This record gives sequence, structure tokens and C-alpha cells, in this order.
Amino acid sequence: MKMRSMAVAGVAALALTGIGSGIAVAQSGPPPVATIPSLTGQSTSVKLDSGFTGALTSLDVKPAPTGNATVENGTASFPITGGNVTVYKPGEVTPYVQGTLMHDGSGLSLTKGSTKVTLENFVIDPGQPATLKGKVLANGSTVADSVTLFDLDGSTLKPITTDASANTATLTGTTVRLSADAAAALDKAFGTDAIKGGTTVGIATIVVDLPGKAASSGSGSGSMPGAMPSGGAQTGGGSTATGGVDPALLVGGVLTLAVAGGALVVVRRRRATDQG
Amino acid sequence: MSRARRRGWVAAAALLAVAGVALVVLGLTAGPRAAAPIAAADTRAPVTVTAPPPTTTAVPDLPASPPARIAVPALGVDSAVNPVGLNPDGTVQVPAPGPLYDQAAWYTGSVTPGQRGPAVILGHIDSAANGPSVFYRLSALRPLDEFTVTRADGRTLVFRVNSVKSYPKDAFPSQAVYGPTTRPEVRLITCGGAFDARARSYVDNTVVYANQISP
Repeated sequence: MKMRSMAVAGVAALALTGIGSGIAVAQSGPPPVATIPSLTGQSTSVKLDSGFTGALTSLDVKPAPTGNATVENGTASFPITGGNVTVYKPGEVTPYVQGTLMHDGSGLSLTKGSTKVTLENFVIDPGQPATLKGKVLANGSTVADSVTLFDLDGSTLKPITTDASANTATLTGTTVRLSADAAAALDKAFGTDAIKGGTTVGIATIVVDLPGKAASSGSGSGSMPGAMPSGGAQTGGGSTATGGVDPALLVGGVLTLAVAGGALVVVRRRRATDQG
Repeated sequence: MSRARRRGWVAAAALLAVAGVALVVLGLTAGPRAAAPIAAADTRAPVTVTAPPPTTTAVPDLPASPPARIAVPALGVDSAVNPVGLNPDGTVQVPAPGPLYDQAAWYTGSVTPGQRGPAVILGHIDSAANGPSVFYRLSALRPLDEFTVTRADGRTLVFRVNSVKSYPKDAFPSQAVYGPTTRPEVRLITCGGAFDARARSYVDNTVVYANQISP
């Protein structure tokens, strides 16, 4: 009986150690080295691969910029109009460049005879897998609003560089390859099977404005006319907050109840034995 | 075992049972609480309001006119927008308890939507006792989602989400959120993260960065 009592007391003590212990706060990942939550400008440029342009030429397909895009000296450039980017230290987070880069109002047309395929409004997602999606039109009619046009290989990406005087950051080295779906669609449009998925289109260089770049034209400074608030905003009362479970306390309570129940059983059995 | 000793054991067991019940109750209620997780598929298609999509994001600077209404189709939000100022401690005011509590609010020290700079629109995630509020699902917005702000002059402007960020209130990046921009932008702000029951406050803020794309 003494051994049993000691065991009961030991379990109870073990259970009661749950009091005051909390839940370990979930550890967040490594901090980013740079974050731009609202991209405002600059461009994504692709130095076109001679193999890609040569293949188009051999098929008599003529590439041309559309909207605000430019093609100069073998480099196609598309202005960045929005999105965000977060850069981590390489090796700490994969992929170490994350975000979304939007390129509204620009694109590339591919024309052969009376057939014109237009790829525009590019959206780059450097995630896994990294892709470039865009809208596809055939002779002016929308074929798809958002399809993967290019696969992006970030393994060749070089470390980010910044230009303090220009207030810009540059990421270069991403290899742009034609996606299998885009190649199949182009083959179908141009009546050929010569355009292959995985074909290297070129090497991309992304230049983005860093936050705080001053307004260069137009009215207004872009600053708040009033005082900048300090800190965050108290926009909640907590009525929808969920959770509240402390596993250690809960386990401690259950064990304590078990110990109490066990003790009662022992007492009742001993009483029955004594009466018998 | 004597009767007295047995009674002692029963009393001890009863005390343990009471302690166990208390621990269970504490275990179910005393742990950390957080803003309700919002089920949002990262891969869902953007919810847009422009048809057809804009061909450019270059928009003209507009004269000042305060926002009167905000509609966020991706969240099912369509709310009046009321003005708020600053508290004596320099923090931004939020909708006070009462009939306007569950409506969005515009910080009058920021630009009006359509002007170059960040127009700041806030909304509660929830109330202390009455459940979800106007920006309850704000963290479910995704880049490329669009929403509209209608100004007092009748103009309805379209904004597109660039990013959705969460910041600790004690490390709030004021310059990134409230600093100057080169074009008309909007910041939508609400609470998020863990709920500090002692301070009766969430520890984080959710901030949506968006820029005007139309007209």
C-alpha cells in the first residue's frame, strides 16, 4: 500500500508540473535581407538567346514588342508595374527570392503571315517552380487570361545588387525557358512542331525601384499631408480569437483526475477487504 | 485501514479531483489565442473588378476627395468609409464602439485615394464581444486581387493588391506603410496574430499594399 501511495503521489506531482508551463512559441523563419512590399517601377529585361531567335527566324516567325515593351540590341524589356519581392540570404530559405512581379500593358507578339499570337501582362512568380504567366491572344482575341508561358530557372541567379545613387536593386541571371504548354500552343498556332518546350529564351535581369524613391513628376510629393501615425493600429477586440488550449495544463489536469480516481478505487477496495 | 484514515484518503482524492478539474478548465481556456486562421487557397484565381483588365497602371493624380465607400469583392466587403484622426499618443484612431464600429475608416492625415501617396484605410478584424468585423478576412487577400474605393466626388477608383504583410505592432514599419510613394496607393490595415488577453489586443497588424490601376 505504501508503494502504491508513493506511486500515486509521484504521478500527481508529475501531473502538477503542468501548472505554469506554457506552449513554446512557434519559431519564425530567418528574417529577409530585403523586402519591397509594393513594387513601383523599373523593368524585367530578357537578353534573348540566339538559339531562340534563330529558331523563330527559321520558321519565319517575327517577334515584336507590344504596348510599353521594347526590344533593343537583342534584349526585350518589360516595365514592372506592381507586385512585391522579398529576398533572403541564399541557402537559408528556398527559394531565396520570393514575391510577385506584375508587368501590365506590355508584352511580345509573334507573327507569321496572317497569324499573330500576343503574349502580354506578364506576372513573374519566383516560387517553386518559378514561372512567368501571361495573357495570350490570337489575332486580337483572348485565348487565355493567365497561362504559364515561361519556366524560370533561378539556379543561375546571381546575388542581389543595389545601386544607392539610382535607388534600385538588381537581380540577374535567371534563365528563361519556354514552357511545354506555350510551345505546344505556338506550334499549333503556326502549324509546326519545331518549337519545343524547354527551349532557352534568354537570361533575365530584374531591376526594381527601392522604396522611398521621390516622385519625379506630377503634383503632390507622395507624402502624407498630416502627421505619420506612430506604430500600428488597435483594430480588434479578440472575440474571434481561437485557441486558448494549453496542452501542458490539460494533460496535467487529466493525469490529476486519473490519480484521484485511482486513489478512490484503492480506498474502496481496501474498505471492502477490511469488511470482508 | 481505520475509518479515520480512509476518510483522510477520500478527502485527499477529492482535493486532487478538484485540482484536476481546475487544471482541465485552465488548460482549455488559458492558452494563447490568435486571430482565427483564414482558409484561403494561395492558388485561387485573382478576384478582379476591371473588365477588360487595364492596359497600363499609369493613372492621373486626382484632386483631393475623401473616400466614401470601399468594396472588396474577394472578401465580400462593401462598407462605408468614415474619417478618423490621431490619438493623443500619436497612434491612428480606429472606429469606436457604436454604430460605426464595423465600418471602414480613413485616416484623415493621409492622402485621399487617387492622390499620390498612401491613403490609409483601417477596419477592425473583430469586436470584443460581437464577432467578426469589416476586415475580418483581410489576410485572405492575395496579390492581383482588386478592390474599389468610391470617393465623395463620385469617382470610383480601382486598386490592385501588391502584397499582404503581417507585422508585430511593437516593430511596425511605419516608413514602409505610411512613407511617400510615387503613385496613388492604398494601405488596408487590420489586426492579426496572437491575441494578448491581458492587453486586450492582437499583437500584429495585417497590412495590404495596393496601387491604383484605374481609371
